[in-house]
Amino acid sequence: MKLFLYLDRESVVHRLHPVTKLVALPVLFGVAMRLERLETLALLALVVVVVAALGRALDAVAGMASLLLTLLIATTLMWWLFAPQGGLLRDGFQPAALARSAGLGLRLALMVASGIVFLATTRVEDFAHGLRTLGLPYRVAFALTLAFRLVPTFVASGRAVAEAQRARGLDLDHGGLVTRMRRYTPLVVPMFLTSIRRADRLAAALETRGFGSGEKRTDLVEHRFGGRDALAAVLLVGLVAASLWGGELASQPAVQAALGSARAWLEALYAKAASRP
Amino acid sequence: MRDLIRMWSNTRMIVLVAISAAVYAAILLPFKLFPIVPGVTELRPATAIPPLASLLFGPAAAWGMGFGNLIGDFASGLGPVTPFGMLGNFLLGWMPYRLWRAMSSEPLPRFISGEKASASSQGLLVQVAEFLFIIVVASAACALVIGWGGLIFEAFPVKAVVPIIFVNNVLWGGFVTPLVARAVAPRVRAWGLTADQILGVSQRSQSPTRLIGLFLAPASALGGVLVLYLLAGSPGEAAGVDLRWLAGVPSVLVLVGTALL
Repeated sequence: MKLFLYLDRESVVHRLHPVTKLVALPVLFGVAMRLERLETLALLALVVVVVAALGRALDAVAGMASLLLTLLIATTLMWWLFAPQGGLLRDGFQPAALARSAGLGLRLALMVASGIVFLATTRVEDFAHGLRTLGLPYRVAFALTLAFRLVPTFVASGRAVAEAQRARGLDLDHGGLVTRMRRYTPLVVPMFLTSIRRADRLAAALETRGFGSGEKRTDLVEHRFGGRDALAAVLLVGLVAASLWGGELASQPAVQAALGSARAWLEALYAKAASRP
Repeated sequence: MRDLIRMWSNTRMIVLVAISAAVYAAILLPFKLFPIVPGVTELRPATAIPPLASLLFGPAAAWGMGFGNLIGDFASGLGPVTPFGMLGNFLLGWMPYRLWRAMSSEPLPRFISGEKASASSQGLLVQVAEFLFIIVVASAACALVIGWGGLIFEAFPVKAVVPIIFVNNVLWGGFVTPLVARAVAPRVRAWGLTADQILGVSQRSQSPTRLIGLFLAPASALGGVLVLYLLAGSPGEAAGVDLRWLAGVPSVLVLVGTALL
């Protein structure tokens, strides 16, 4: 069973330095937070789709489409119903409130979609390496990586425990809430104990291999900042600048004039095409 | 507070961080398929783990629960509230240990450890009440921090979601944790894997600031979550009170109060 979203592929996004991706993700979140109008959020969605395509991760995003759609609809509905200002339950139907709720839903779905692209293109080891480069101590990064590695083993042992208990007649589907909650005990206890029993052996195995010896560590895989990281940084700065000053820039007379000329040129082109027999 | 840092020099505690995180995530993941609020929370039997791990493994459980929640988000998508989810679960794994050590002279409640009462120990009913109090406070702190993240990123209406997180945590922690703990705790103690056995800490917190922490941590967790619930969507917010930053104050006070215990 595949538990995590990483796709082992070759792509320009896969090859980016982990730190570049670790910085890009919160920057994208920040940019999304700056945007409120549906049109600008749709533009950002386009950026996320392009990055996903470059990272050959469109199928990962598509695979989570049901989650993203549920997120979009549930967030929109929740905000539309319960919003403190203009909420349906409080102030009745207001089209502007619905549009704002849809914007908030799209924004959250976009952020989660960016997270999916990050996860689909970044190995856990690279994630931990990136965190270490940003200053996280090695032992903390190691514990995080080890936890990721242990999850599939524990999920498998949990599944075996569940099947064994069901074979003994454990019924999790009937009864009141408290009864059903209590019935989870025979699942959790063996799973917890079999996992904890490994602690001593694992710690001994680590120490016999020199864990915590204090020597400066070297890495099997060396990541280097390259041209593509510099380009990504420039694009990110451009994105932040556009989110900060894009609206202001669009209202400048020179930009308005240029946009007007472009619109006139397009209209002329359309008229010319339409007049052809 | 020093335990949180000191434990990183002990290999067994590091392994316990990884194992408790992995167990938490392994129970969390199957239920990601049944969200209560998509992208925010789901039916969580795994919520029985943080108080249990906290009482047994102390600081290792705190880090473990934070990492476990992050791993859960790795499977369902990282979002802007992810760091707040990590911090909320970190508190859910840290506060029970700190609060229990500040309130009791015994390493575990007797209805969990199965040990006999000594002359100086509290009554059983008092211990049950203290345990439930700890669960309620830690659950409130977790809901408060996640609610704060939701406010900052406008990820969900706080008034609707914070009570769900709080009740979810209290129900699993209050009903299921003692049942699991009663079966698990004696074995873990026999294996010598509890935090006080590994780190050799005294059973009762001797910190002179303990009483301040005992007041500050519960008051800011319970008060904060109540104020957050009452003010979100109130005329105060409409009148321009920026709750996004106001909600950060009790969250920070919870951290400070817990550190003082």
